[in-house]
Amino acid sequence: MKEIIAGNLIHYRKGLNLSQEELGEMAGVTRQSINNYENAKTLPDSKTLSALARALSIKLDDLLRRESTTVPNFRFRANTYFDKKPQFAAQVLRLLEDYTALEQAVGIPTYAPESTPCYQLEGNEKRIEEIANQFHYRLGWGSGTIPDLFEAVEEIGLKVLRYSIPVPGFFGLSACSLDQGAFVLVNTHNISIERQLFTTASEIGHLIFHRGEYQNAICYNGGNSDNAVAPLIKEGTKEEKAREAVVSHFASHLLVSQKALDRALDVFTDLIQLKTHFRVSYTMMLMRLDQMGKLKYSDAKEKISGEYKRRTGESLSKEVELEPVLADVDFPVNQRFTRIIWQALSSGDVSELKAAELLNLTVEDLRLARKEARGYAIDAIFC
Amino acid sequence: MPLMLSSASGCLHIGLILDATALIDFCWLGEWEWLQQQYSPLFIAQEVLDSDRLELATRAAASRYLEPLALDTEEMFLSFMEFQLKAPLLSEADRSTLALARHRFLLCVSDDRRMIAVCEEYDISYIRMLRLLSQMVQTEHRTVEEVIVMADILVKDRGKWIANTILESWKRSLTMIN
Repeated sequence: MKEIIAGNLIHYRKGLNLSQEELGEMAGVTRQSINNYENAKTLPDSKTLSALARALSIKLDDLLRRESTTVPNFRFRANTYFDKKPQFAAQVLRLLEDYTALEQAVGIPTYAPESTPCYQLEGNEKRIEEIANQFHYRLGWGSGTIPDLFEAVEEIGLKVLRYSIPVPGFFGLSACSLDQGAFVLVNTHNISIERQLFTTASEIGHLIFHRGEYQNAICYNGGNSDNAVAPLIKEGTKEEKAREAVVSHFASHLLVSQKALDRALDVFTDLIQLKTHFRVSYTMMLMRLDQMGKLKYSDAKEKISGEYKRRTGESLSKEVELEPVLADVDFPVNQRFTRIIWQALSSGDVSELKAAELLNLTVEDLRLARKEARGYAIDAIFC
Repeated sequence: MPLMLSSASGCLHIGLILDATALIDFCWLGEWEWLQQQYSPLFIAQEVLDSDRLELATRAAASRYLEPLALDTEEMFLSFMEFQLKAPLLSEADRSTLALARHRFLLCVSDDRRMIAVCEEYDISYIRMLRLLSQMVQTEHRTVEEVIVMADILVKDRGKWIANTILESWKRSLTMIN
C-alpha cells in the first residue's frame, strides 16, 4: 500500500507541477513527510491522505488505486488530453465507474452505435450522409429536427454526461466498451449549448467511424507521464484533420438533415431563422449551406462578421453565437444519469451519501427531495 | 445500565460508529447522552466528518459528540479498496466507516440498505435506528408513545426512508416490550 500511495502521490503532484514543499504547504504537512510518503517509508493515515487528495484536486480513492486500474474494457478517444493531465483522467475514470456501476445496479441495457471505419471525407460524403440519416431515424425523429440531441441519444441508451471541466480547449471525449456501451463526455464550461450539441454529434461520429483507433489511455505507468500510452493519431496532424473532417460532415448532417433543410429553405430565407429552426450554431448553418453550394463559407462568415461589428461595435469571435442563443434551461443536464441514481436509491443499490454526492445535494436535502417525491408517487395517490 | 455490546457474529464490541444516515437521525433526535451512556465510546469516520454532502450543523454535532477515527493500517486501506470493488455505489465516507467497524470491532449504526448489505456480507455487526429506539424503551429512557413520535418525525418530517411494513411491524413489536 505504501508503494501504491508513493507512485500516485508523485504522479498527481507532478500533474500540477508542484514541488514537495508546495504540496506540503497546501495540505498542512511537512516537506519531509511528503518525501517519506513518496519514498514509501511511512504509511499516512486517511486524514492526511484526504488532505493531500484535496490539495491535488483528486479523491482519496485516486491515491489508493493500483497503477494500471481502469474501468474494464473501456477504450478512449481524445487520448492526447490524458497524458499530461492525470487529475482530469482520474475525474473521467470516476465518472465512468459511477455511471457503469449505476447501470449495472439497476439492470438497464447499454448502447453503442454500430461501427464502420472511415478515415477521409473525400469520396465518402454520400456514405457518411447516409449513416447520419440512419442514425437520425434510429433516434426516432425521421428526417425532422431533433429538439434535444442530448435527450434523444440518452433515450436510446448512450451514456452522455455534461460537466463543467475548466480545461482550456477541451470540448469533449468519447469512450466505448464491448460490454458496457458507449460514453460521451461534453464540457459545458463557458461553452454554448450549440457547441455542446455539435460536440455530442461529433463524438458519436468518432464512435461510428474511428472506434478501431480508440485505446486505453487512462492507464499510466508508475507516476511518469513520459511513459503514458502514446496516442495513435496525434493532434494537429494531417491524419487527425482528415478524421475531424469526417465527423464534422457526419455531425452537420445529423443536426441538419438534408430533407429537413430542403423543406426549411422553402420557408425560411434568413440565416437566423434557419439556425433557430434547427437549434444549431450559425456556423453550422453556414457549413451546411456551403455543402449545398448555396454560399461560400469563408465569404459568408466575413460578411456576417462585418454586419455584427456594424450592429454591436464588437468583433465576432469564435466563441460568440448570434442571438437568439439556445438557453441552458431548455437543455437540462444529465437526465438519464440522474434518473438512474434515483432508481438505484429507490432499490437500495446506492447509499444515500453516494447518491447525494452524485446529485450534488446534501444528504439532508436528498431526504427531503425523496419525501416530496413520495407525496406524488402513484401508489401513494391511489392507496 | 449499559446494554451488552454483542452481535449476531458473537463479537464483543468496543464502541460504536455512526454512518451518515445515523448521524443525521441522532442530530435530529438529540439523544446523544443516552447513546453515550449505553454505547460509549462513540466514533465517526474522519471522512464522514469531512464530507461536504452533510450540512454544517450535522458535522458540528458530530465533532461535539463523536470521536473522529482515520484509517491507519494497511489492512484498513485494503478493506477500504475491497469495498469499492464489491460495492462501487458506496461513498468514500461509507467505506471508511465500514473498514473502521471491521478492523476495530465497532458496532456500526446504519439504516442505509447498501451499507447493511456490505455489513452482512463481511460479517460486520450493525444496528438499525429502530432497534436503538426500542432500546430506549427497554432502558426506560423513553416511553413507547415517545419513540413512536420520534420515528414518525424522522420519516414524515425529515424524509428518512423506512418501508411502511417495517415501521408498522416495529410499532407492534413495541407493545411486547411492556
